[in-house]
Amino acid sequence: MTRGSIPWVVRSVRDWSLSVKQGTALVTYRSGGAREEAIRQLTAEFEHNAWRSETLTCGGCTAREFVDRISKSGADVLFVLDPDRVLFGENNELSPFWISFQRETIVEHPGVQIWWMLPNAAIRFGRQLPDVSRFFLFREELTDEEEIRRGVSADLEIQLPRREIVAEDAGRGRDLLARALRAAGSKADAGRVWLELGVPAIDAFLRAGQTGLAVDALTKLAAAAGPPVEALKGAMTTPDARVGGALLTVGRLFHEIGRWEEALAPTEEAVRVFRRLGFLPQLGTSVNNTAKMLSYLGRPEEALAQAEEAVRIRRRLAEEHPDAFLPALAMSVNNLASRLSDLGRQEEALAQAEESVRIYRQLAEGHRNAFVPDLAMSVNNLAKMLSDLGRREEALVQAEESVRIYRRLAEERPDAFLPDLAMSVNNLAKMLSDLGRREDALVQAEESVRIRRQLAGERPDAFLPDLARSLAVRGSVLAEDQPDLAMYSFSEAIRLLTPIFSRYPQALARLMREIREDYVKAAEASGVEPDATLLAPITAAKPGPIL
Amino acid sequence: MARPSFPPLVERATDVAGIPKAFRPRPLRAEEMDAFYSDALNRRRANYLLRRIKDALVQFADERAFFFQGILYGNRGVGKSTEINRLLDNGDIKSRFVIVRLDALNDLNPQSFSVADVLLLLIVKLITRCEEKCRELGRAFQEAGTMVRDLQQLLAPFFPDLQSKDQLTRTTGGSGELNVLTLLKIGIRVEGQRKADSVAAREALTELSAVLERQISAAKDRLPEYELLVIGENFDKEQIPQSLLFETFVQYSSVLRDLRLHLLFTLPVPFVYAFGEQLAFRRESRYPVYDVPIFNEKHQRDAGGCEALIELLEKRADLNAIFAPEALELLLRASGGDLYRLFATIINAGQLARYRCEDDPSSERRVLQPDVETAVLEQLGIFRNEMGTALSDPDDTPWSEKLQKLRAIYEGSPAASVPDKALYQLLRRRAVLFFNGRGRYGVHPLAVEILREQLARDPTFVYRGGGLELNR
Repeated sequence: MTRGSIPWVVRSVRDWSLSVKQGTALVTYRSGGAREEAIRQLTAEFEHNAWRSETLTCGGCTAREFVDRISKSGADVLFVLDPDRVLFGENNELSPFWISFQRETIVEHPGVQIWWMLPNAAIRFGRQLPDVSRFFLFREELTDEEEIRRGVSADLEIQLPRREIVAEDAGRGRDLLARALRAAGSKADAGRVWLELGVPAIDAFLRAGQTGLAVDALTKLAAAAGPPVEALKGAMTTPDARVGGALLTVGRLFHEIGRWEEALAPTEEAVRVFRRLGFLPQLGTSVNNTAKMLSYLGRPEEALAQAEEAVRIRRRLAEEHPDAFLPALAMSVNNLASRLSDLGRQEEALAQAEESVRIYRQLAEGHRNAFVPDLAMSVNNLAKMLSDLGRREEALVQAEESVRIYRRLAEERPDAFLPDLAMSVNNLAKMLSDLGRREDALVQAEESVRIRRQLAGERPDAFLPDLARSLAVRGSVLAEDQPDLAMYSFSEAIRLLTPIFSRYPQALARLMREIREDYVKAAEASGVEPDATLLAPITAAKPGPIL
Repeated sequence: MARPSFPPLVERATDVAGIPKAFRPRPLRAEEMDAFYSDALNRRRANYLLRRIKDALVQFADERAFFFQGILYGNRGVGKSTEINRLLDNGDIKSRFVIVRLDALNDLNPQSFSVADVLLLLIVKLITRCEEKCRELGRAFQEAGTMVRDLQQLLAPFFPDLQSKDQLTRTTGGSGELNVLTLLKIGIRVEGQRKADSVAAREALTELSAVLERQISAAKDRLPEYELLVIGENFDKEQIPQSLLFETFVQYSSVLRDLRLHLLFTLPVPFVYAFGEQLAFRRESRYPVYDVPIFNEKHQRDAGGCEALIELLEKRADLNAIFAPEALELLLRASGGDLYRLFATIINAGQLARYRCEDDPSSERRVLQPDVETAVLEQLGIFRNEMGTALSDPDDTPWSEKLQKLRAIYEGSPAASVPDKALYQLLRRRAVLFFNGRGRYGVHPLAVEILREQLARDPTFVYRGGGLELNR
């Protein structure tokens, strides 16, 4: 049983609750589906102990009702779901100070309260309501692999295009979901329910950056109206662009939560729909997405074929309507570079990366703000391709430009661009080191470590692997002249990475293997025996195909 | 000088002088319904239009699941706007919906609006209507300020000129917010066609939709017992180029369709037929408002249709006191069932009658057949001119094709009823009418006169009736 898994959290929360019988706990979660499952198992556990449980969702209630419902609840265990919505408002427009005056009332509830929040909400809660936060006598973290499968290499980091997140309120998603569930309850046609209400609800949650809520919506509505893909296909007597779009959204949701197999099926269906309709823009999008999913599924040859088709389609569109389709072409060319690189075809990958930079540079000059992040991304990837080919001086020039752009962006919007800045600075450190400029490299590596340490402090699951990667680069910079310090850096990387690696050995195998090898070398160079305790969990992990 | 937003109320006419006030060619307003509305036309159409739409809306509101997205389509003057006014005055509708009305002619620039304008206008009107409704219910609508500020952030790409005006920045007080909304409405009306290049168009629409959705959420929070119903009026008018309708309702149809709003729009008949498959509106929510026939399939007087029109006219005037019987009959024939044309011709003929009496006080103080004939001949000239193709007209169908189609319909050829480009153009100009029952097409009496003129030397053409039957 691994820390953060559903069985772990269920056992931990159950044992604590049964021992204290009265008190408030906080569980942060990353996936709505995992939360639902944990609550279901906990409810069963409590029932087994003759405890009565109740779930309080506060989506539609007022602040007063929220407090009343807690204080009047007679349940032995009260699950309070996402209280941040009522505390901070749907659009973060409320100031939640009022709850401080109600804290005594809330904690006087005679049973156990288990509050469930997303990590960001929990951080904000802790910062803005320290008086209430200290009433959490027990904290647990329910994690899933959603954000863990980001990177797999301690080498230079390739960056994927940003997800499209438009400022949109989750209230729209909730309203649509409520309507969809009502429609499903009244036995309306399942295809229509998914098409007109269910998928738009999921899309709204995704646009609001609320993947967990999107998963919740999928789970609840699938229980009420049946699985979406079959229903959507059933709703289509002839190829229908709206159904194609809905299938793409379903694929996107599964993609977001790392369920690639399930993401691939609706996306391929969308490809079929748009191919039959001859709608090239949508076909380009669906083929492009298919390529990414195949790549994640470890099918690089098929991924390459799809990526090439996406470029072909979008190139044709861009030739006819450059203003409208150049951005999509640039994105597809960038993806094609990655697919070629996956197959070791570095020269061809470089050519594509160069084209992607050329297009994004042209776009950024015309529409400066909109395409600057994309330009930085493509320049970073070009640096990687040049470095892979041993053209280190040229790679350095590109890496420096990428850092320059990201630094400016991060100054304007640190929340959005600090992770990108850290990534590009880390790459720059690696390239300077490869050129023998170790002092300069060390300065960059330290900066990268510093930024990622800060990010990992706020969102450990999302950024600990990145921090380990930066520590590994710092170690490699130090290795030649100061192997003892390098060893310290590598050992910290291993120590930080081990808990997550235990849960997801396949995803992090390559990164861990490289850091371990560097650690062992640095230990030998320092004349020190490698720490067997430190390495034991790595050896104990079930050997995947790489280890 | 500011114009009043509404013309004077309708007043029943008891003599020729009262005709202009009695036959104002505009839809009836709520306060005029009791006195002047006649359901004779609806009874003649026998398709329970209003009840069907009302029942559908009430059902959608009660279920609170799907969104009603309907269209009302019918020729000018068949009473669409009056039916909408009656619908919105219905107690069941008023108790369930906050209604937002968009008028394509008065709120938008009908020559150049874009889908972005429609969204902007929706945003402005939604704020205003929710604020009014909250005030009516004694509730505060504190979100108005936030909404306006939210809106202002988006303005730069759309209103670069307005952005620099002081009023726009003064949004801290209530009057400042009103200034912003008023300026925006004027900007939308006057400027039209928000300037957004093709790269930015989709992104701009996405952002506008996102703002609108946030406002919908706020409105639903404040007015949870209500659903939001948008009525899009006058989108069927001839002044609006088809390309604008295409952009709004076909090319970017998903923009309106994906909003959490109940929608009811009026659209032109040919447009609905031409783009039926591509319109976002579901087939069961498309409501045709049929023409009222003056002649039947055999080109004989349709007693039911004529009686329905007479019943409607009687609500507005003492017919015996104002019209000679043969004059009234000619007015009915010349109208082709089009209330707009009927009222306009009555006003014109009434004016001629008044001048005749002023010049010759001994003459009869009623509208006589010669008065109507003069007015009708004038209408006939206008009608003929409208049948052709202007230089900049997107209608490139040659007159010979339209004439052939018109003749085929007049002669009852079954193949003529299959819609094609010529039929759409004839429907657009009201030369061809569409009746209920089996979905029959018929030729407007004015167009029958044009047929007679054009085919006078064609020995194969036989006039079978259904024209104006003028004495001169």
